[in-house]
Amino acid sequence: MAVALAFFEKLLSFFCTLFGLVLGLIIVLICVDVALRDLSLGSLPWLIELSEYLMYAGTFLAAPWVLRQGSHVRVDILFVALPKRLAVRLEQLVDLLGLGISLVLLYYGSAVVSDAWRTNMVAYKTWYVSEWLLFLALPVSALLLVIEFVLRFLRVKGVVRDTYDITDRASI
Amino acid sequence: MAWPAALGLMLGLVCLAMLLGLPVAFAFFLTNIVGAVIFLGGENGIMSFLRGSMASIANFNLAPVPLFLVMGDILLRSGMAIRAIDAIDRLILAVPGRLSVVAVSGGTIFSALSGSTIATTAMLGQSLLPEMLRRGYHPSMAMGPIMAIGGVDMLIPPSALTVLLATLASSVSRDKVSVSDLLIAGIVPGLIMSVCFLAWIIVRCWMRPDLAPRDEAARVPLTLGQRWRPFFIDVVPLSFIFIVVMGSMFMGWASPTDSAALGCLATVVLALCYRALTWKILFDSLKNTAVVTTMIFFIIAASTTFAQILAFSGATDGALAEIAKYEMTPLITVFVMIAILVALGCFMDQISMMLLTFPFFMPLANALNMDLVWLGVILLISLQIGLLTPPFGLLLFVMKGVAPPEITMRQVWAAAFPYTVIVFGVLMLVVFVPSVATLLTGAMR
Repeated sequence: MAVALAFFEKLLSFFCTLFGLVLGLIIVLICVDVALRDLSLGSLPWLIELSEYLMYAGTFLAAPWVLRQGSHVRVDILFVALPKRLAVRLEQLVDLLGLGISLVLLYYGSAVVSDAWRTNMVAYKTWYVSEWLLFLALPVSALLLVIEFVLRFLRVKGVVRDTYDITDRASI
Repeated sequence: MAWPAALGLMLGLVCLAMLLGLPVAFAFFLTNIVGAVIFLGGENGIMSFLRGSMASIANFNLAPVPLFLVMGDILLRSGMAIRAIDAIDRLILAVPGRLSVVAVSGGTIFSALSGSTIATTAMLGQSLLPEMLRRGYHPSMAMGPIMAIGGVDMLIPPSALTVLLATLASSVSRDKVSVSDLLIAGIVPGLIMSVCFLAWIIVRCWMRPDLAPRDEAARVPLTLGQRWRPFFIDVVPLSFIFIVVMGSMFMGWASPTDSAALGCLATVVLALCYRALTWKILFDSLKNTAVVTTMIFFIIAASTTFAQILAFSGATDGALAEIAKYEMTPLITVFVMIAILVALGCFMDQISMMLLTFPFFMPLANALNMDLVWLGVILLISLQIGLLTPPFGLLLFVMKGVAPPEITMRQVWAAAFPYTVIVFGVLMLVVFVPSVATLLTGAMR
């Protein structure tokens, strides 16, 4: 079990790291595109489409890691105000709600993928891309979120800290 | 379902879910799933919502958001930002409230390089606050300027929040809000705010020197070279980043995304020149940016159908028709918008505020033929006020977190108050003198 949990954590972290590297790649490609255009050497016409797909897939695949880090922004009035005993129960309620939402996303996300597969839908801008491939990030992300919400529910005492460090709030 | 019930259900559910502490993205997912079942035809509605969530973030216009965040993160992690603050510190010696002035002027410069409000406040709070308190600065004079300047970061480009505001407003507006216009429009109000903060600090410390005792550093004589050399080495080159980002956009050579990527490149090149960049710093910056970007984009993906469900259920039209009965002038409408944002800002983050209010604000602004760039700046400043207002203004808590434990929340609120009044004054200036916001965008055309 411990090995499986360690693998799960590594997998979540890997997806987030991958998204970070993808953002670095997008920066490099945009700079190359600007240079090519300014030097009248052409351009990278597929860059916008590639960046869009990568931003979407990266966001969904990194979301479970962000959940694990507690970095999804949320209103924490009640958590701060309530005594720890009640905050733990509230956190569990929140985890159950999150689990329910993730299960719905998993079910209908899978339906969206299978629908696109069955009807052979294709997205076309500069490339022909099978839509089921594009939508795949959705159920994969939802599955990882389901597992993470279950784990959060089980280790709730570790999630609710003794001193609630409000500077850890996620924001821009 | 009648529109008031639909409106109550959608807004009530999302607010209740948020209040319970459900992450904002999941609160929107929950509301949209319920809304899709009731108003969009059940299962098909949910599947259509999920397809739409992909389209909302597979949007190249959002690309500047992570790119601006990368710039700020690299500057912070590489120590370039701290060195720039130190250099400004050496320049300002004889001014009353010297370190407070350093906080505002250094913060303004860092605002022009970083896309992150929290990063600016946390950096200045950690680097300057302990020193200010050690030198006997009154807590209000030590904390106030740092919190205030964090808000200015939202206005002075590059600002990730400005890009988000323009993109989210455009998604529910008849007319598009230009990202580059809005970025450029924030410069003048941001600078006016900084100058007002500086004037307040200097006048206040001149009248009551006990608020900021003259420190030993100011008494040590420095040669002209010792004072100016760090400025030319550690601050002037950083203007290269601002010139690359804003210059390329202002001259119309590059789109906001292009200029943001070039800004990242300029930041990396400068960091390499300072020998301040390691693979680890670059890697950590990218990974941290991925976390923050995911947090933002996931909310956008989750909320994508929110405005559509409101429109489809008749809630948007019903509410707008009700508002139209009052025959409000554009000015009154703007004041109502400001009041709503300031009230919501007391307990909600800026992205949620935008997502909840823009489906109503933007059609209203369209109907009244408002200048959307002017309105965008007003909304940005209103969001900024929300960061500073008790009981739950975010910057108040960031400051409480980095301040010594003996500083109470009441002291933090009191410290922020005069600056909140100044920000409100600048907001009124923009409302009544729109050219303050539109001057530069007009010049750009």
